[in-house]
Amino acid sequence: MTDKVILLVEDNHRDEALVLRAFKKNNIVNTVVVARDGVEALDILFGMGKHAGSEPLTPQIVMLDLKLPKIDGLEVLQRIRANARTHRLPVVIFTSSNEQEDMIKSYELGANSYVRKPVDFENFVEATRQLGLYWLVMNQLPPAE
Amino acid sequence: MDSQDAVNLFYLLVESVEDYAIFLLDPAGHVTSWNAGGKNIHGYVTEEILGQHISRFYTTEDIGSGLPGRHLSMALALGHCQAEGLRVRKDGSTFWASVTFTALYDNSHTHLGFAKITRDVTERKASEQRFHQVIEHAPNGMVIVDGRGRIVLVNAEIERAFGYRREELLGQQIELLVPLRFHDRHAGYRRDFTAMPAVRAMGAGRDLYGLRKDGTEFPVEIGLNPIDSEQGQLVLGTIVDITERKRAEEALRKNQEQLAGVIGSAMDAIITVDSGQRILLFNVAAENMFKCPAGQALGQTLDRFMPERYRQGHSRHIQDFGMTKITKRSMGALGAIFGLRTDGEEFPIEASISQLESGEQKLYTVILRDISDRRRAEEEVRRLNDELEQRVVERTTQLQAANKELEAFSYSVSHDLRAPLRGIDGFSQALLEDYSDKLDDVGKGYLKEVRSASQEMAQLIDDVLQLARVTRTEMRSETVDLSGIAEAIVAQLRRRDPERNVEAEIEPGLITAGDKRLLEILLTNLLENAWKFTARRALAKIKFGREKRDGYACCVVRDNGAGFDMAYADKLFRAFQRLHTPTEFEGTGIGLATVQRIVQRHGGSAWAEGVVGKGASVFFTLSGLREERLT
Repeated sequence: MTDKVILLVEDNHRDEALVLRAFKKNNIVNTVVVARDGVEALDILFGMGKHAGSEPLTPQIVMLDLKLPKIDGLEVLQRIRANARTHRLPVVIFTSSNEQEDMIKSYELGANSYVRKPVDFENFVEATRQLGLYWLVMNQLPPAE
Repeated sequence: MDSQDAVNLFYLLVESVEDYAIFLLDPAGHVTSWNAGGKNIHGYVTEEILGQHISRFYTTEDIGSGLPGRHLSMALALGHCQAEGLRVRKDGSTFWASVTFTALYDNSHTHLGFAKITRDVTERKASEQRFHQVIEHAPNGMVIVDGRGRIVLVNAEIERAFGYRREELLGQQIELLVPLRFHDRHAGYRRDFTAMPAVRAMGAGRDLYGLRKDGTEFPVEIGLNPIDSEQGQLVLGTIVDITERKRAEEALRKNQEQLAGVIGSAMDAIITVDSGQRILLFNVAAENMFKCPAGQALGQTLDRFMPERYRQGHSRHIQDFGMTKITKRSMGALGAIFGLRTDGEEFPIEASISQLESGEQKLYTVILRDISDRRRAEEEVRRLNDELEQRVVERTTQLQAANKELEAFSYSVSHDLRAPLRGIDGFSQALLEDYSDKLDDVGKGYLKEVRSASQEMAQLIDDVLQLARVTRTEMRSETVDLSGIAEAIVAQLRRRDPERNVEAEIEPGLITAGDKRLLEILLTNLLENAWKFTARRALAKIKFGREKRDGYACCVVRDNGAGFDMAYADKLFRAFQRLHTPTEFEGTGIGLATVQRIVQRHGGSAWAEGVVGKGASVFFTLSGLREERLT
């Protein structure tokens, strides 16, 4: 499973730490690449900006927060879906918001899942576990193009 | 011819007279001569009648009353006697006779007897009777007066009109029927008429009055006819009681006065024109409206009171209207019309036109109202409306901006307030997990409190957000199956707390029109409350159904849980108001406030009843609730 990279797009360093801790508690040992705003996420995915010259990343899954500095999550999602290489990339919205608007827009823009971050850490760990289990173990990606 | 010859000739002449019975009587009244007229009239030949007494010619009644003897006595006393009356023929039939007796004497004044002349005047009598009947039954009063002003004849209408009986009038001066104040003049007029009799109306322009027996007067119209008769010149007066006509005239005059008054005082200008558009009537309001005295308007055409651009079209309109059989209609149906004051000012008017035929003439009457003020008022209303709309637009924009801000605020609250809580909870847990060997139980207990506080706060944030959301969210109306939703919520609660023993009774078929998402939140709040407050019951009972209160259908969620004190019933629906401590029952105190808002947004109201320790019932109405099952 080590070849399956997780791209975590998260501006909040505490949430980042908690996600990583949850992965660890759930024995998810995949490489986690962290982008701390929307621009960085896109740079990583498309080998641009600070990541120009690097190989564009094709992660197993993108865990995408919605509220992000510079470019917000919905726009990142839109750009991912607009790009031929990434348009089938599994994107899980992982956010504090339970606004209906956000959910609807996310799914409209092609999100694969929408998960609200629980405040209760035990629930948080459980959510992470199920996400990892599903997207990293059970889910089969289409063949690379 | 000697005198004897003359006498003989005279006898022959008398004998041959056929229209008059001329014969002689002896002093006792026996017939001593006869002629052809006597045979014609009475039917006897000479031989039959000579020596007979004249009573043979009288009716039995007249004989009984001694009339024949009286006639002879009168002739004897006065020299002659005239009479009229029924006489009898030989065959017993009667006829109306005019008779003259003349006493005859010789040169020594010895009474020789009587000459009698009889004429059959039946026809004249009949025509007289007809004349009298005609007069008697004439609809007008008729009175005949002799040359001295005495009443000779009156008819029934005179009796009726003046209130006298006939006997009271005959022989009286005609002035009896004339009001006292006219007596002097009347006698003079009468003399003038006698001097120059002619058929004419009396009074000539003066008002004439009759005087009734009871002293009252009444207006009359009198026609005069001179009649020549045997009694000298008579005057036939025809008297018509014109009380009714006067009254009608008076009423008409009043009516016209009133009409003139109405027209004069009308608020609307009233102008009548003939078919050539010449003005025949121009009332006060018209004078004021057009600033033109009637004197200057009458006889002019309407043209001068309308702006030049309308003149040609207008006369055509009037002509067209004249062709129609419509009596009236409003003008300017196709657009505003304008009047023109003499000072040149144009003003908007509202007009209607009517037509009527008056004699040979066709008249058009237009009624005009100056609607400048109304137009101004309408303009003002329109301006105010525009202003108001502008203001509404501004306010709406402001409100939308405020709403946007609020949404952004809510969003950041939901997003940003939760993130630190997650940190607090997560790292507390990390401490408990990674450093449990360095913490004693008290320390661990504190960290658990930190965690539970952060979770509580997260719940509170969610509830407040929901409350805000149900207030501002846009309503979408659809048919909502409340029973189905309630079933689903209860099923979910059962899954959450499988160990609970709850008897839930949900009435099927509760359908309403409303926003499905909000109604789900509503029922979730109510059923979760019921679920929560029955937690300590060995057998919890929750019921969702429909009831009737004050004649209105309402929904109710009942439970047999902790209940509440009715003294605090009004606090229930206020945000953050709680009747239980968190250690009794957890909760944020926002659920029922949310319920209230959702119900209000559906045009209903919510209230609660409860008894401490026995249970609570929350009622709510929805304007879209179907009631057919309750009727």
